[in-house]
Amino acid sequence: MIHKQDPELSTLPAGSGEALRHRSVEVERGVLLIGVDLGTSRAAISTSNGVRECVSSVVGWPKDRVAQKVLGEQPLFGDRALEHRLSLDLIHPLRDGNLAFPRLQGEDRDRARRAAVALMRHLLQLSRPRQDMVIQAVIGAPSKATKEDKQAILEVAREAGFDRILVVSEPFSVAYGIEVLDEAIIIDIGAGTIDLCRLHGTLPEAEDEITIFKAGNFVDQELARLIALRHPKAQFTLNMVKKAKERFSGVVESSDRAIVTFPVQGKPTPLDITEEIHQAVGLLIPEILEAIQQLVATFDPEFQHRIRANVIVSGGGSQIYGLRRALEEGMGVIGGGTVRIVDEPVFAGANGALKLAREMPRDYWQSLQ
Amino acid sequence: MQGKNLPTLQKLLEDAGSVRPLGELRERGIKRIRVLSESQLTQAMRIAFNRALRHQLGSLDLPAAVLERLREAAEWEYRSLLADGLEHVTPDFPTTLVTPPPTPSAPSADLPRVPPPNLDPGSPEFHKIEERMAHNLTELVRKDWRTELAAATRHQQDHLEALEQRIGKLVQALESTDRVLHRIQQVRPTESAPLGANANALDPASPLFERKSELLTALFQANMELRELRGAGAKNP
Repeated sequence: MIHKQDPELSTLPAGSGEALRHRSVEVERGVLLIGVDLGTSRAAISTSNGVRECVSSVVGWPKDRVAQKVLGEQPLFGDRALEHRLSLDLIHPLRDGNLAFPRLQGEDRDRARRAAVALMRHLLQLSRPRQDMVIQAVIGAPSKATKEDKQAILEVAREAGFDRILVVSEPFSVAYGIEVLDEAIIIDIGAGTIDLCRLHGTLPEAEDEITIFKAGNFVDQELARLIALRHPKAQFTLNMVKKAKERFSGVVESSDRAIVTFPVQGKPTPLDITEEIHQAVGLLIPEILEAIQQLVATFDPEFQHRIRANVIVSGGGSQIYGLRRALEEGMGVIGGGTVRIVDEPVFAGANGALKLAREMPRDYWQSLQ
Repeated sequence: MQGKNLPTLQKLLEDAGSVRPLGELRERGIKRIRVLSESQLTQAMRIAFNRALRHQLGSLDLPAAVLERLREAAEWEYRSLLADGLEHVTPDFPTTLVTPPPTPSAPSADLPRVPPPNLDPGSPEFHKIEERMAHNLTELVRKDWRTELAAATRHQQDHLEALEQRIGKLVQALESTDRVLHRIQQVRPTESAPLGANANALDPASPLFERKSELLTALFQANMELRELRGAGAKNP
């Protein structure tokens, strides 16, 4: 038996039990299963050895020798890359939910591909695999990902060190994780896309899926525009706006105000952006409602009421305060509906992918090598 | 002693002191002399007496007549000392007679034993003074009691806060332990089973077994097609 230290055990506070402090998670030689959710803004993994991580989908290489000396030669990832972005060439390997490089040319394509491989390798390292393990991964792709998009995922994952790879629709992955396989609509609200998937007991087909290309990033841009309109002298970046949105999107329809401190001509100044957030976040609701209506309308009329009664929302964007109520109210025009938010919306896709990996028959995995 | 007819303060000071010629003083190196009049000495004595009385008696609210009698008594004592001779008086004479004033928060130990001078114990005035002294003593005791209570309360609160912090840490430790246990439970013994085993396969007894089996098969086939397309693309770029 090979012993492997559980990373959380070392951080247990003193007095929590000597037995637990020194106990290790025993992992036999064999297979490591990983569920991967590749998002435009964030990538999440959930593994069979208990690892759960979420990183920003950004890779940065030191710009020059000085930066190399300070930060090292290896690329930085996630929040660390964002923190040192002034010294790095930052690359976002995902766009609109898919890997960016298939749609690029020349040097841009090479850089984006290199970043995608680096990010996948980083995710694999976060999984803490042993050298002798076979890595089997289920990786989520957007609903409307093309075959080229899915092949790009296979290619990059293989190069990063994954041994056996399955690509699956991300909303389907969410549905599988919560064991909702029939008569439901899954809505995955991310940064690049909002993916809707209608489930009716089979693998979703093209007509069962809708992708809306206005999601978290669109809201950030719109919010930035509205803030600039009202506070023309305020200085801010999209990253600052994004953080403000994530922090305050919960104040929509509440009595709290969203007060941020942005520099105005160099002087930190409190700005009330409650109305701007309300407006920007609210832009998503009509788009989602329209997509729901489309999926309901093209479903068997005898069972439309069933999928209306089972609308499930996941993804980072599901945390918008009042979303559930807004969607249910909006669905009133098509006969009403019931909306619920999944537990752990950020990891719902990765958890579902891990469950798929666990329940996929062994023979199938072996055939995928 | 109180029956004596005392001379005036000036006469006492003249008798108590000694006369020295100015030349002798110059020979001793004394070039300047501070001259005090009887009225200045009397005034200084009165001020000293008032301060001492205030410090000694605290917030006692004594009638003016009583205070005046106390002053007269003090002045009498002062003159009596002078009449008896100052040989026994040390150079720091004024400070040995007046004890250092206690701190304002500490009640004077002399407080209960200060008798109103020349007062008939049976007189109404005496009773009034006694009542006032009792009242003031009670107030002092109450202040001390509250101070002690506040100190004890503070100590208990500090103790409670320390206990609450310990409880908070223990709760955190328990939650961390729960998470680790939960995660360990999630890692089934055959989770990373040797190649060739798949103990995580679908449970045939599960109500979703058939539905899931179909879905997994469809997913596998879709991925195989993807690889075939990829292979075909590689052969025919």
